[in-house]
Amino acid sequence: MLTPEKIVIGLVLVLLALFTAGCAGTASGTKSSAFSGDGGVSVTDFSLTKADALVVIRYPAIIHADAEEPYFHAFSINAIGGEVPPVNRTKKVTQRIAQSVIAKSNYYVMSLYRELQRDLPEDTVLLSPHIVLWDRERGLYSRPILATEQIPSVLTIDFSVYSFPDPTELMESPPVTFGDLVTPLFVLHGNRWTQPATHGLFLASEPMLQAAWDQSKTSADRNRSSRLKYGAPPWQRELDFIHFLTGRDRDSEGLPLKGLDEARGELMAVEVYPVEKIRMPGPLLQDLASDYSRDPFVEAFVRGAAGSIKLMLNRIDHDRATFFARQQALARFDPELAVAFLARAEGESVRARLQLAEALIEAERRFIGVQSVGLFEGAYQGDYGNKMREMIQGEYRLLEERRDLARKQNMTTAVAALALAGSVYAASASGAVSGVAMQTFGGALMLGSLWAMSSTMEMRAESAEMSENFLALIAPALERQISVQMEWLESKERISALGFAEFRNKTLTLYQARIRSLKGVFEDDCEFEHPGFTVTGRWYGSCRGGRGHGRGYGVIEDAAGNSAEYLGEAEYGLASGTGALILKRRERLGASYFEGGFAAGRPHGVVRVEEPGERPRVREFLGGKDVGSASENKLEPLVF
Amino acid sequence: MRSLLKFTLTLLLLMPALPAGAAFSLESIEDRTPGEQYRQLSLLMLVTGGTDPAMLELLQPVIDAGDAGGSPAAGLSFDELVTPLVRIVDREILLAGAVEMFRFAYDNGAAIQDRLTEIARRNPILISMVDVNALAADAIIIREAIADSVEYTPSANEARAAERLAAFRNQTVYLRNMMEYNEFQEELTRITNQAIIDLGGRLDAYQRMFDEQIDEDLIQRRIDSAQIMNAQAEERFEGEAMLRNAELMMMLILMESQVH
Repeated sequence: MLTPEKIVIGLVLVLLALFTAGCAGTASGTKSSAFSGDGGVSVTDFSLTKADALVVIRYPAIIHADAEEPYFHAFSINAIGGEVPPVNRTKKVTQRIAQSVIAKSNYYVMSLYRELQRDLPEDTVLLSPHIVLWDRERGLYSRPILATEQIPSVLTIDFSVYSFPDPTELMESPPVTFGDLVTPLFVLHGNRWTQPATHGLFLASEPMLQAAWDQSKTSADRNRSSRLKYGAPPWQRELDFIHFLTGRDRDSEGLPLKGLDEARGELMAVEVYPVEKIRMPGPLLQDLASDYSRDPFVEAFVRGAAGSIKLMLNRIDHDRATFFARQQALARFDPELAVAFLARAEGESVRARLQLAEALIEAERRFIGVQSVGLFEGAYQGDYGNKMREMIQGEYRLLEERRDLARKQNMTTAVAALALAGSVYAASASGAVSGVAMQTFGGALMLGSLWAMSSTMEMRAESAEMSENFLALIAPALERQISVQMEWLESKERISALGFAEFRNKTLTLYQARIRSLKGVFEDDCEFEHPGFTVTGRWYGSCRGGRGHGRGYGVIEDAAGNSAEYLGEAEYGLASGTGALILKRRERLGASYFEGGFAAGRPHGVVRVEEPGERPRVREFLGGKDVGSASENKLEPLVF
Repeated sequence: MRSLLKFTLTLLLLMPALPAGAAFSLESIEDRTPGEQYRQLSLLMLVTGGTDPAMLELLQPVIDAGDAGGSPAAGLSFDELVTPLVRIVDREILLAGAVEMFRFAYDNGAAIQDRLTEIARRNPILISMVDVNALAADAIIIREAIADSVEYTPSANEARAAERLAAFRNQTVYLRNMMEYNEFQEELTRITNQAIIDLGGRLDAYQRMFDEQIDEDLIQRRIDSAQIMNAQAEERFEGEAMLRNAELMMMLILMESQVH
């Protein structure tokens, strides 16, 4: 009978046989990341609002028990760096690698958080941990645990690390995160209006390009639709990594792409971040468990990536980037003001109420900022971080031993090292501790225990009905009983029941008690038209005779999937005056953006044009017809 | 009730003093405590803030009458003018005082600000305790009193006067909004800070979870218990809500029965 131990030993023997045969491959990884950003860049925020965050970092944090099997399955089917043979997909070792991706993402993301948080203003870098879920209707998906993504943010990062699911293929040098080797996956996106030509997608890891593009497009479509059908709930973007896992054969052909850092800000295309297996500096890993004053992941990857993000923050118009996210945030608790905001209404009554509302969002940002610090302390500086460092150090030492051995025996170092990684996962998966690779190594066991802890956290979450409050998820049941729960947990400390939900209740009560009525009429259902559409859209803002007239926002969409969004001045339902228009044609990837003068619904006068894959240009228009180039000095940009 | 009493008493004390006050000057308040000087000068700035010399055009009839000796001497001191009580004094006296005040502020804006800075620098603790919102509240009352008086004063150019008066009132609304924002912000900060402190306790609990040995059976029992408690709590709230609803219904029925 085949016992797990026999399987492991067999697997290890197979691997040993393979690397003694001298298969090709490399485990050296790249010592410097493709991100070449300067970590010393300082960010200047000229934004008119203090409510918004600069960066939100999303990552997979925990997984629900029901989602484990679908996640393992998706992970093995949609592999990066090769195809996993069907026979290997259901192996326990593949599951263990899938688990390690979540466990290690939880740890490595903190390096990125710390680096950005250190250089950017306090509480402007926020963490958004996601829980991976499954249900019959939606399949595998993720949702945020905290309310972080309700805070308007200039940029959003999706971060995770990755390991190829099949250890038997590791000799072919697919991506892996083990010991000193880390393969980060990275997506950088923002609101659609930040870069309409790419639906707000700035950068993505190569394998995830199409998944990230789909997500950004869906986000743009759903947000537009929710404004067209007033009151429809806004769409929640799941993690791009999870979305990637749930789809096969995503082809990014035809997407407007460019190289990393290439013509940044000039070419309306998505930067492609290649999959890179980064090798962290060995001396910093040798005693990582006891000395982590210098973070090896920061040295190898994060500093460059953070520098690149900061450069991007300097390039982006923050008010334009967060305009619609702020509008959504306002709509959550003050729909009347949200409409006045869309109309960019002036007047003291709007200004004063907006000031109060933005103070409320700013307070929420502060609260979530502190929650993020708490997560960092728990996952990086606390026991979790210590265990992860012990594990990474153990993995590294073992790899180094194997590299030495390989060198002595004149084998391909890489093969030896990566085969070892596979065998460690395999041994861990089977529970074997007597396998060749496991004799001196306890790291995999730690990984197992971390996973067990994560599963337990998930179990606690079941009764919390996925509240927005992180603590409500990982510790107690419902909000109002948290103090009782803490007593049950035999804590000496009594925790008062003031989580995010109650905090929000209190601040909203305060807000509602203090606001005054708005002067002016801001309608949310007037008619908006565009010469290229036969249907009528919806206009928010000032109206005359039931049609958009004055400042406001118009949205229109036809049955074929074409759409237009306009923010600015209008006359009798048509864009007229200064404004910005996003035009999306079904047959085209991305969208076209026009900003400047308009008349009778068409660009008119000096207009800035942004189109997918092209450089932005300033042109002179006459009744919608491009009649030649124009000087940027003559452009009247829209003030968001 | 207490404030009404205080208001009435101050009114009675102040009334005889108003016509005989001293003219505006920085020297006239030098014998006051630094806190009082600061208060009066701040108030002056808040009352005249956001206006320009064209504001005096609104008061031209009062100035002309003063020049011709046809209006009571202004002569209101800071003490007298910068209190809400000015609203009940004679309109001409009030406006004459306002003329002096605006002139003084326009002519000495920089000096007043220097004096304020100097007082704050020398008495940081004292000034840190000044309630700016209370000053703003006083300033709003005075500005409203001036605006109401101007409204009933003939002007050489009614169209321009209306426009300037509207601008002055808008500035007053802005001042009020700023005051309310400050109050809101203070309360919001208090709530946020308290929530963050409480959050600290929660995060400690989060950390303890990593420290503690996990007994899954025990946790499951706790979850079960929590669910029972939640269900009970909801039932209790439902009961209370129905009770309130019944009270409301009873009130409505009683109100209906009172019609006729």
